[in-house]
Amino acid sequence: MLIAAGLCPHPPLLLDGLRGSVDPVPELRAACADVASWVRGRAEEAGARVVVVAGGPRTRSHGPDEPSSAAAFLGTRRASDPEELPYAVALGRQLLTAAGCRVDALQAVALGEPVAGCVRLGASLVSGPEPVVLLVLADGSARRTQKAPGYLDPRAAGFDAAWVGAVRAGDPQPLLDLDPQLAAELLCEGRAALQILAGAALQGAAGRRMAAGVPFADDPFGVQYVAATWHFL
Amino acid sequence: MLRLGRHVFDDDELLVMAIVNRTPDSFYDRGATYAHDVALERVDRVVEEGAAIVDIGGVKAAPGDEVDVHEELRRTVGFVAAVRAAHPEVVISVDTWRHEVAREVCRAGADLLNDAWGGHDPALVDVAAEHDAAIVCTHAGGLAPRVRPHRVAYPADVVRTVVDATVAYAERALAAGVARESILIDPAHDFGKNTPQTLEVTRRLDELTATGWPVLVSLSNKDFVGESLDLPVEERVFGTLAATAVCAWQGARVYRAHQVRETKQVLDMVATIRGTRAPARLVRGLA
Repeated sequence: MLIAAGLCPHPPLLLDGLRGSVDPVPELRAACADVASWVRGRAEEAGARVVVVAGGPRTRSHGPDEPSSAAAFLGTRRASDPEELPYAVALGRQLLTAAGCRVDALQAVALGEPVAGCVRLGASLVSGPEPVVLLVLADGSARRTQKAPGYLDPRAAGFDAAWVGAVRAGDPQPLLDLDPQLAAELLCEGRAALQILAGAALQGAAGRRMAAGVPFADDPFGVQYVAATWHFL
Repeated sequence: MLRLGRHVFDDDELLVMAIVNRTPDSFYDRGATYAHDVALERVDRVVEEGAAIVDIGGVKAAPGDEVDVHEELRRTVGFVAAVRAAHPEVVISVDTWRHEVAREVCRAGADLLNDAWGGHDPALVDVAAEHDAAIVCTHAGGLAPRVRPHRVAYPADVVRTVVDATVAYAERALAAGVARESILIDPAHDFGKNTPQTLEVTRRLDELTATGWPVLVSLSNKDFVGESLDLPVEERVFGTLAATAVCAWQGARVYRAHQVRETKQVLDMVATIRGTRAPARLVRGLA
């Protein structure tokens, strides 16, 4: 049963070890910390399992204690170093741990996972009677402006407006309409994770009301970031 | 011995490659030398300031309006011919990834092909060989030309990756018939690499110089300097010169720069400290 879901973006610059002496995103960092604290609060109230959902190279679960570091982004990794968590999954765990929240499971989803697979996976994460709280890591398009990492694609604005609007409205249905091919072209890494969220909400919270909060929605670097909370009542 | 076209340099000589962009929109000069006459004046000035090489580029590195082959030729070929006529002694480098442009600029007098995009066009080495031109073999992280790095991770050692890529490109140039003494390698600071990755490459540049291939570095006013010091584009000269000294200490040979006079002084000082250059004038304590 799905009690609540938090949503955070996953730019690598939020990872421990990649912060310089000047924080380029203080509001985003604070919003993500607030979402992580909120997840902890909802999980403690309901005695719920906490599951991180985020994109990675393959769809698979990871043990909650598997290693991770920012070394690949720092350029300090060696080929002989042990295998690490996908960075977005690692970020989810980092945010929750910093908020004092226990992390029970880590679910990675391949960026190209088909829609139906995402919906099924989302449903399976919340299908039992046991209460579950999700922390979903997902970003939108990285092609929103000329200065964006992926330069400007005029389709990005409409694509992001659709899913951001759905998050604001607490409506999972439009998330299922995100096209995987278009998402890939627009350098959106969060499409599959958002569809897992939708699958979980439609299955594990069916018939219940939802209160949505959006403490952050902006694209300071031309990449769409959203921090949000979905509370199922 | 380093041979760039007909121009030969001793292995101890540190060379400044002056940037002369024929673009309306490059990140630093923003069209300052787009006009032909202004560009020629800049060449006159940088040669006077001690640049051994001028690097002429017709396409900015960042994404933006498309510059096709035809337009790139228009911006570069005629200018290369004009520079060749005005300065027979200067090495002319052209910053291009395209073999079609390489062919025409070599015909017009270019000595060196500076491929910032890591061999994206496999035919470029053949053009270099055909014209006995020199070539700069870069690491661009597999990115297509004019693509910004986005969340680039190096799961194996970034420096090892850069060494392997540049050496492989150099060996491909050699196999294509480019003269061994005309091949340089360049880690390509900030290309396909974020700031920490670029800093790691700079920290361990000696692993590139240890390959034996002469190393070119292009540091000038780049974002890795700006992000290190939290300074905008127009305030990065001191940071660039610090990085220049660090690369010179580790044995890099060619320095692609906007500020020629300052770069030359830094290189001369480092070379004098290293002992590969004699101090200029000795009197103090020796009179």
